[in-house]
Amino acid sequence: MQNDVRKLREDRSLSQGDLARHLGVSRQTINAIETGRYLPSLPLAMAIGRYFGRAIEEVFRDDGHELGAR
Amino acid sequence: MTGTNWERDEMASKGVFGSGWWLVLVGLAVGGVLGLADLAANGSPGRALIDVAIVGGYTLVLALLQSRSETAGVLAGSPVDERWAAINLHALATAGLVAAMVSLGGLVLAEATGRDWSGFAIVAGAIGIAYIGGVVWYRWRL
Repeated sequence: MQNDVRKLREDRSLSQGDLARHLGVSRQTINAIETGRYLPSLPLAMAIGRYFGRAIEEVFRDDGHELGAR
Repeated sequence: MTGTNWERDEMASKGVFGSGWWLVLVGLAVGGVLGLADLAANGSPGRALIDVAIVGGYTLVLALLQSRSETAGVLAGSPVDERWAAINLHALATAGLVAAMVSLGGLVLAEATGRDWSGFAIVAGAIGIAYIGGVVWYRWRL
């Protein structure tokens, strides 16, 4: 899963701390989401999309992994 | 503030449990029970006080640091967001796995050397029952 959170944040000249405060999470969590180490929950992903005025699939992109594959 | 469901749930639970002073009270209570057990076993008030000071001091430090450090927040039982809650769950699972392996290893070792293994069996049994109970409970809840 890839995302455009960093680009959207930087386009608005926001720091990770600014975005974290708006979303009610820690700065480390924003960093983990931007670097792909942490996949946010659906409510948080929707909150991120809402904050940037984008649909969730415009912010987070599926990179082809099949769900349920073992 | 946009806020998430996790954040609102967490704020609601903080309303029930209050601030970090709740944690200090629990720490002092646990330390007090340990101290009383130590006092009953050894008759030493000094050792009992040390028990209270160690556990109470640990929780006091966590309570003071939890608003400044996300890691201290997790250790204090108040993860600041969903990622830290996930970190908390992973750490708990790791600790549970290690506790299960240590208790089973201790049980086998105690039995092989002819020592009392009942303490290890109780702990291993409790971990096993809690795990199975957890799977059944969360299968229904999640």
